[in-house]
Amino acid sequence: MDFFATLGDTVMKFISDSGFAAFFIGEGWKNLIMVIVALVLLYLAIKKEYEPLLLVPIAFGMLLTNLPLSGLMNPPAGGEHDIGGLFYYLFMGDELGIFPPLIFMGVGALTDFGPLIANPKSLLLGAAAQFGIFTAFLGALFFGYIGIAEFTPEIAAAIGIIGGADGPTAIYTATQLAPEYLSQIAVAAYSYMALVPIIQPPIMKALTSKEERAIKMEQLRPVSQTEKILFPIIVALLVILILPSTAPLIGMLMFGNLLRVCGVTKQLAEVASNQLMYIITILLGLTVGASAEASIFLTTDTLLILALGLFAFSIGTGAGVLFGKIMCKATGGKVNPLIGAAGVSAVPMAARVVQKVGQEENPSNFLLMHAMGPNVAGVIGSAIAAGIFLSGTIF
Amino acid sequence: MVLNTALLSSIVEIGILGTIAGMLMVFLALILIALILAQFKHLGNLGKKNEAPPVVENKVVVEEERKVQSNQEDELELVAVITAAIAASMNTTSDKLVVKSLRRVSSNKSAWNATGRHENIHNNLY
Repeated sequence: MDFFATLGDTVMKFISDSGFAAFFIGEGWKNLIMVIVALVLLYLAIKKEYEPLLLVPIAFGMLLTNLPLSGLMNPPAGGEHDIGGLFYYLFMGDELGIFPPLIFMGVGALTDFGPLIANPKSLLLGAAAQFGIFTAFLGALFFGYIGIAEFTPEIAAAIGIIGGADGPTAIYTATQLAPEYLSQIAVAAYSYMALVPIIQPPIMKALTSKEERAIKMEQLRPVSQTEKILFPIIVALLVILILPSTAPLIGMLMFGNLLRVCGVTKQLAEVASNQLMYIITILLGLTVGASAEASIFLTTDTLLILALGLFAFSIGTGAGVLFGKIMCKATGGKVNPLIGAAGVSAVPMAARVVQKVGQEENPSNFLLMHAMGPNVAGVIGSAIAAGIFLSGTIF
Repeated sequence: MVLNTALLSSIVEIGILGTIAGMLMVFLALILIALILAQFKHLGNLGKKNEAPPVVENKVVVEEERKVQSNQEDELELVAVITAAIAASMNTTSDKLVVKSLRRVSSNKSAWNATGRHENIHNNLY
């Protein structure tokens, strides 16, 4: 009998030490909800193909970190030979601001700045669309002020960057200014980027007339290789000298682009835009997801951040289109205002949306290349806006 | 809820001033880049005048080299395929065969002959 009693105790102890039991002890139920959220995100990423390359790692990281007692994000306990959890160390790449600039290098190596060089005016549209960032920043400050959330100006800035529609920039800013909100900001930024084709068209149509949407633009001039080589060098010099805090993002973006265009570093451009970018994407996604601890994620703040992010996206799109209308008037109807909507970064999704909406009105209209100008300008614009926040001069 | 005026003024200051200053900076930086890019047109023309001829020559040379290379590769591939086919028909492997030479016979036969041969091979295959 004794033997069976001991066996029973052992089995009970085994069960109570397992993760299953931990779900039902104390705050464990929150982890269970987060596991469900992670599964929903996985469903959206796999079945609906919402930014799968990022959402799958993010969702799985979220799933793993919320399995109780896994200790993946635990810091080392303090003893000499104690080591922390796996994700704790991988997360250093986010915390120390290493991963996002490396992703930017890949983005640079993939981006063709030709349409922007051919039509420098589109830089203004890329600037106008950054209004979304600052309105969301104001909104977050207001929420902090009326006391429904504890948003300091730094946190408000990190939330505002969601409006830049640029994942790496949002993650980089969040790790520097509001590390505790990293997971919400990253999830919001990538979710909305995936939803660009749904969010943007109604705003674009509401702000433009049929005639404006049907405007055809003349073909862009061809751009020489010399110009393409000079572009990243000049932009890096200028922007980093104006705003030194943009050095990691703009510097790596332009370096990646130089690898692409200079013609003698094909292998490096290939690695930066493919293998390295995918490696970093895996690490970044897993660790950003792993930072979504239940106690932080399951708060009203998360809902506010999601709402502010959507608001920022919408304002950014609207501001871009309105500025496009101004340019349309100024050029005597040569600019189709729709291309302003591509000023939110989300490369190349936003440009594709412009192409689609333009073609609905006029099947022979090809706005894609014209929209790529503001689109890549938006990447530079949101990196500059991030740099302004990171420099801390406005707080 | 009691509104704290001191806090309000600081929020307004940070928010509004920050927004105006931030947007100004974004616009200024991008306008500056745009102005410099606008000068690229002339630079592009200069570049073209100086660079265009050698670029074209390079292209031709590269294309020719490519052609030669790809021709050689095609030939080698053909030799490998023929060797493998012969080896297969002799129930051996290609490393046991030594290919001394393969000559391409220019076909001066009529199209009828060629088609007949094709059909013959085809019928024997299936």
